[in-house]
Amino acid sequence: MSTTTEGATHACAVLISAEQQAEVAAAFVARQLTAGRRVVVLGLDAEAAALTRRLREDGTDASAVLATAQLSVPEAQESSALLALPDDRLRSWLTGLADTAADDGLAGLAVVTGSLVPRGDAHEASLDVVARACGVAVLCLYAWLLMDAESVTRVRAFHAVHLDEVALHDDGMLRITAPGPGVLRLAGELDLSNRAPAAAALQAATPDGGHLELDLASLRFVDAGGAGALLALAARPGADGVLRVRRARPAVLRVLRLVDLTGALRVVDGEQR
Amino acid sequence: MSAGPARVHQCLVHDAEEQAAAVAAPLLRAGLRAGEVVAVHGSARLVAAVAGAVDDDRLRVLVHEGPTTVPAVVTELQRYVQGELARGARGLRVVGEPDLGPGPRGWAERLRYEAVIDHLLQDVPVRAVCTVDSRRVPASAAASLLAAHSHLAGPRGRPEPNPAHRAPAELLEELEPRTDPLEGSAPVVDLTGVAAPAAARDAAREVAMGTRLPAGAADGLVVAVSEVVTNALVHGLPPVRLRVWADADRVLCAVTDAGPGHDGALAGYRLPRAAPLSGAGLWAARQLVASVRARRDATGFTVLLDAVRPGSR
Repeated sequence: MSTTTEGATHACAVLISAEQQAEVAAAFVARQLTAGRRVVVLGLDAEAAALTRRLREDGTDASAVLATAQLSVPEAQESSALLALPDDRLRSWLTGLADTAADDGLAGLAVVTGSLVPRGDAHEASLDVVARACGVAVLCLYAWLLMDAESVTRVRAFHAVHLDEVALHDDGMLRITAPGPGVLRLAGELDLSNRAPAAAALQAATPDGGHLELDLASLRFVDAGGAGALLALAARPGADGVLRVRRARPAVLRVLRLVDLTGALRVVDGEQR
Repeated sequence: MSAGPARVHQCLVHDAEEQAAAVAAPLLRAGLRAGEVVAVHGSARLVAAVAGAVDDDRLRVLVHEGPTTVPAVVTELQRYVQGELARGARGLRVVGEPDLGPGPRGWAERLRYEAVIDHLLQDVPVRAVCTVDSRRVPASAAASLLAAHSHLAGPRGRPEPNPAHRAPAELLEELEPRTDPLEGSAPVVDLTGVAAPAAARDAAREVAMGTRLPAGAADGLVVAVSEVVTNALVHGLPPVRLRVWADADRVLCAVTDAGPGHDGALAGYRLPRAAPLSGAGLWAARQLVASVRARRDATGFTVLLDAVRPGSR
């Protein structure tokens, strides 16, 4: 159940990796931009670049919306100062921002807060008030690793919508998700450090030999062994001996082509499914 | 049956393509009679001369499509051989030579190629007859090339053991200096106790970004460093150390571990085993950087990887 498209929403995601953060934040931001809202991203700091990169990989040109100020990513210092505002001041600042968005002819305001650790019930309550009163979409990002079980439960209870989905695999370096039927998406890096568990997860995610495509837009590095593990999917039981990949970066595609000694690789960019 | 022993690496020195074709033709025709796959590669003149002398449309012409580096050409030939054997070929005879560039650099690359081929031919049913054009190669370089072949081409192409034959490893050791002048300066990166390939990749990438290496060469170096560090972590002994040097046009990486290492100069040319892939790391590294060298000394086993801006030397 989600009220995201209506505007007033107070969602959270408790994240286990940087790739998941980029994935969840980019999906939220893209949705809000499409709905015509202004999006303000607070507290992601160094990871803001990962967000804009992921937006681009997911088909949203961040530079265009940054130029028109429909997307706004304040500098780290300003951003943390804003998040540290007393709750009433934060509330009035956001209310003002929502009014400005309306004045600018936008459909409303959306805010991503990357405070990563809970800032207390009062902070959450004031964001809740802003979300309801001004129709603002709020996404709060938290880092699972920095929290104990009790605060995770508490944070989840405060938010009506939970946007953290369980991945097929996420080791902090590589995240594998299934964005659609027959499609697996790899985000991050695949090498010696995570090859065995990643390969096991890939094999387990494709048990029946049905149609399979790998979306590699967010795969930023693969070594020869990792590429071998991906190509091995073409030979899984019931498969047709072909590994379909799309949106691979040039460096990744080069390694895949290099170790594709049996001719199993097929690049399906632009092909209709 | 075939007229001579298989698994032979012959050198055919000539001063005219027609002469080379005349010597090789009986041997190639015998191969066709024996049901082997027979192919020629080289200059258009050589191909035309051999085609005319053999006069059989079963003769194949090999065209090198990839980059003309030794690792790429050697890989291409191995893939061709593997493909033909998989399709049921009983053996192969290949005559000719790859074009690895002009001048002393080209001759050195040709010598590297011949030494590697001499090594790899030990266990495949392939006879290679390599042409050396004495008009284009000076006598000293031709003598080195000759030493890289197990056999000579006698009358009617008959293989005769080459008394001047030298071990390929020895030739390569002489050809490739084990150290690099850049190592004389202080490295810009010196990481000891590298525990994961990612740390080495990040360091190499950062240095490469500060040079004029094009993206392709920098990406290739990053993969190669990752592969060599992976090998050190899996097959070597800790600590694994990465040093990186750079000037405007190239980046040199040294990966050292405390283990015994591999057979240096000859390692990493053999085509990896496919499905499941294995033995691909060093081979991939060789395809992706300008040079891969190895040495063993008091500090351990070191692999040098060199990425160079094309056209800068």
